[in-house]
Amino acid sequence: MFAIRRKPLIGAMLALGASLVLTGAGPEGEGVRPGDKAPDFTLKDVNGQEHKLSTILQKEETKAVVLEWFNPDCPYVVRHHQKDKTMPELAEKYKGKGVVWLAINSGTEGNQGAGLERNQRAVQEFQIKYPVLMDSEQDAGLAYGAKTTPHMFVITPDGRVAYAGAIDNAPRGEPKGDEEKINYVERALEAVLAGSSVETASSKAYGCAIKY
Amino acid sequence: MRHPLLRLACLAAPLAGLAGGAAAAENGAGPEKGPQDALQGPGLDRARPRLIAETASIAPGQTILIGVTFDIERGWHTYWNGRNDTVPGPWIEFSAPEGFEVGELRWPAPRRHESPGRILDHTYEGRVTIVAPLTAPVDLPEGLVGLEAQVDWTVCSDICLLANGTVRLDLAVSESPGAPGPEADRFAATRARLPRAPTEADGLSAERPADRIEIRAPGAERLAFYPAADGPELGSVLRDGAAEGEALTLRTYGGDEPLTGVLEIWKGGAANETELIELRVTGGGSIEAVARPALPAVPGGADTYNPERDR
Repeated sequence: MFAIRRKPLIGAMLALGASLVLTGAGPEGEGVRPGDKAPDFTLKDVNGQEHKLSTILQKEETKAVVLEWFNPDCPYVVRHHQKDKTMPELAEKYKGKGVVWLAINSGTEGNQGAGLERNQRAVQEFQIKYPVLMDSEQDAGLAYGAKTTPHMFVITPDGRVAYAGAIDNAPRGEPKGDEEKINYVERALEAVLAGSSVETASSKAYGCAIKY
Repeated sequence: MRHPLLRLACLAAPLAGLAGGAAAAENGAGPEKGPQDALQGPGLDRARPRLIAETASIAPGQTILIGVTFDIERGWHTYWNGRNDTVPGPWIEFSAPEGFEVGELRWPAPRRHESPGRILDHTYEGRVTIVAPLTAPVDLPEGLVGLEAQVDWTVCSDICLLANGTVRLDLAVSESPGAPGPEADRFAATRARLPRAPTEADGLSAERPADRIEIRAPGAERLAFYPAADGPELGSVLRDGAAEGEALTLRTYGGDEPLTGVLEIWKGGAANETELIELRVTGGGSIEAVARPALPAVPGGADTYNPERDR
């Protein structure tokens, strides 16, 4: 069953098709991959302020952009924001180094964690210090192929996807067995800032499914 | 829930789930908490694990199957340990007293679970039992053997809930090999969904040009492939992991890493039975078996296992 859409179906499909052509998403069913051009978007945050990716990338002080797909009621997101503080601490650490961090909620009306009011509250609850963008038409989510919350993308200043996937290798909070805990986004940011190639450019995202 | 009938079904489902749970409890194989289990988390209300054994007791030197069995509320599902778009399978770690050996976990084949539009996971519904062989030492005194499993799992419907903890079982020691235990039917259901190795008679073949892996099963009406968690990056398991006919083609981005997984083959016919084959496609496109130790024999002999009843 598909989510009930407010606008007529044909209009929605034309809009989706147009946005996919313009943004260069991958073949059917696949998301953007490392090396792809990062699809542009213009979305409003919970305070009504607009953020356009290409404008952010054009600014000289922007050294990288991180996109964090977000759902304030998903237990994986809650654990990262409330308990482990994974995203807040990483965003804070790299803020002074020109990294722009954006959370995006692609939930539609009626889905868990969706809606302006819920996300305004989440910003307070989690003390989120970066913009939370509302993608209720799901265009950005579809363009990137975001499947889970969280789902992370790191974008270089020239608009390429440098990393796509999970925040880390620990869906349970702890890595498996003897593995050390690896924050893939942190490693990708270090590489992008240093101008070197990202060693682990993709990983399997984990989290709650985004309902398209 | 746009249609009145669907709305009724959505209301009826939770009640039916409760009824099913009550009936199961009457049979003694229901979802009550084991007395020594220590479990926590909101997911516990929707999928509850227990530690069970295929036999009522274990003899010195004997190998039996033990398992973590989940009772999953209708409308909810848990995850297989292979490749999913969203949630990984549960973490399960068995422990047993000194001298015992626990072998590798064996996972029954899942079903494909599509979430609207874009997402493909491999899941379980209703009941699932993940098993492992347990071997007792030869010098095993009488008494009870304390078994434990650490479990950490996610259960989802259109939202996800987490839970974790420890499940326990005290297993009796017997002089001779144990008879089938009260939960032997759950093990039978798992055995029926454990994949086997490919044989020459299957006639399977594969091709592996640069950007895809094609698997052929002569005589198949329909195929599905459930990829393991590791291996080459695949384009879209949603799009490519199921096919009509004799061939299935997976788009890959992964170079020549071997691809492991479970192939399910429908051949038509009244029983709707399928073949479940675990295989590896090498970098060169050959099909190999994945080495697995043989399972211990079904307790009590062949007449306790009824493929029709226990599937």
